[in-house]
Amino acid sequence: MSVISPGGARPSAVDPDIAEKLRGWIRSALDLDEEVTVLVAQLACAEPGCPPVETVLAALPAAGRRSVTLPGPAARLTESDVRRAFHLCGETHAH
Amino acid sequence: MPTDAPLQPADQATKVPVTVLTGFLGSGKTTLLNRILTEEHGKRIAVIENEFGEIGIDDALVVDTEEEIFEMNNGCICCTVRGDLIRVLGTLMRRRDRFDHILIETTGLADPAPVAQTFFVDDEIAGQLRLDAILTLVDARHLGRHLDDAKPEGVENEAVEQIAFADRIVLNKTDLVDEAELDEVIGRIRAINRVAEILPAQYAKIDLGKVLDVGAFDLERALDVDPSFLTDGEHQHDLTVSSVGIELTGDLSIPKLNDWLGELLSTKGADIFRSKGVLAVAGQQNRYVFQGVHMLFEGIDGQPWGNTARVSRLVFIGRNLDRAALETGLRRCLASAR
Repeated sequence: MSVISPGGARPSAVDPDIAEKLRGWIRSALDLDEEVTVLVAQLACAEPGCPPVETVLAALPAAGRRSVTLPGPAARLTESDVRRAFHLCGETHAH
Repeated sequence: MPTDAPLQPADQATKVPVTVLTGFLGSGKTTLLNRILTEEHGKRIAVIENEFGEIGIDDALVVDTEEEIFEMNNGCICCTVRGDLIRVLGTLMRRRDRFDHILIETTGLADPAPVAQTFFVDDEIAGQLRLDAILTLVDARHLGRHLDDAKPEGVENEAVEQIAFADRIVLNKTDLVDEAELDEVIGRIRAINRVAEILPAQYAKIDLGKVLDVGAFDLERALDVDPSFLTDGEHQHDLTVSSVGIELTGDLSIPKLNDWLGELLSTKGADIFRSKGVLAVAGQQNRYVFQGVHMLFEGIDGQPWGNTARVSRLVFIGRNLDRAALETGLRRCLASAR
């Protein structure tokens, strides 16, 4: 297979098992039920100042979206990383 | 630069196709929606709509949403998705057995990019749904006025963007213009987007087979465009948003392509709305096919070249595109280039 990997932000797929685990950790950290949509996305952003790969975690309830962006790939995150990130610096957006 | 392989599309056949319907108020979206929902086409369609004042549709699964832009990464345009859409799609997929197709109707002022990018960024959505096509309705009589609508600096003209992003354009209300006016409006559409198929219509009467399940985002069909577009010598340099098609014979070098495309998308990605390409890569028996929305990019190995000529073809639709620079850039990617 020819591997063409242009820069610029683009997603790279997260292993489904890892994504599922992260979604569970997000729900647990924020005490959310299964109905609340949560998002796990791994981005490779070439903008100045961005790490080569970062992981965006977000909870998308009907009101009060919360999101964090963590450096590094999703596979390296631990439950305590997720819990700490949301409790310390999770951005909350009312809409 | 990341070195991980480009996204591989999962089993496309099992994914639910999604049509995004854009167009200004008054262009006939509701009429078309009603036709799609009432005509016998054998599909069960779930509709997501966020335009206030639309009429209700009986016996259809219709979900209202409010537009919620989610900038995932410091306002970077490539990481902007629709939070409301992710949420409502997640809810819909729990009722997966009730529909075969999803149609998202956007407001007349919605930016199509975050809607399209939602299908690339969220893995859970990308694993279950596939963006089938962006369908834009325009009103033959009023399109010119919308296109000429002066916007303050930094504010996009939504009508231009909706045409630029489209895979299919329904040119509605052709009965309200004469032949000369129709030619003019088609010319204006073509000046922005040379790739999209234009479907003239009255009362939104179109062959639904031409707008549903068309696979416009399928990589295998990445460049099913009129070849004359790529060799057309008439270029309108005065247009802010336009299309550029490039055709080049000869094998391309992967490292050079990586450098060029990487630089291009990271520096000009905000201005490149859509890109598609079929590339002949040195040492590879198969076509390399890709497409992108702004900086988001995915590509795979396509069909073998076989006995067909190894000719690379690219299309860019965007703002302030420099055809000469794009042609030169691609030419420098030739494996034989120094």
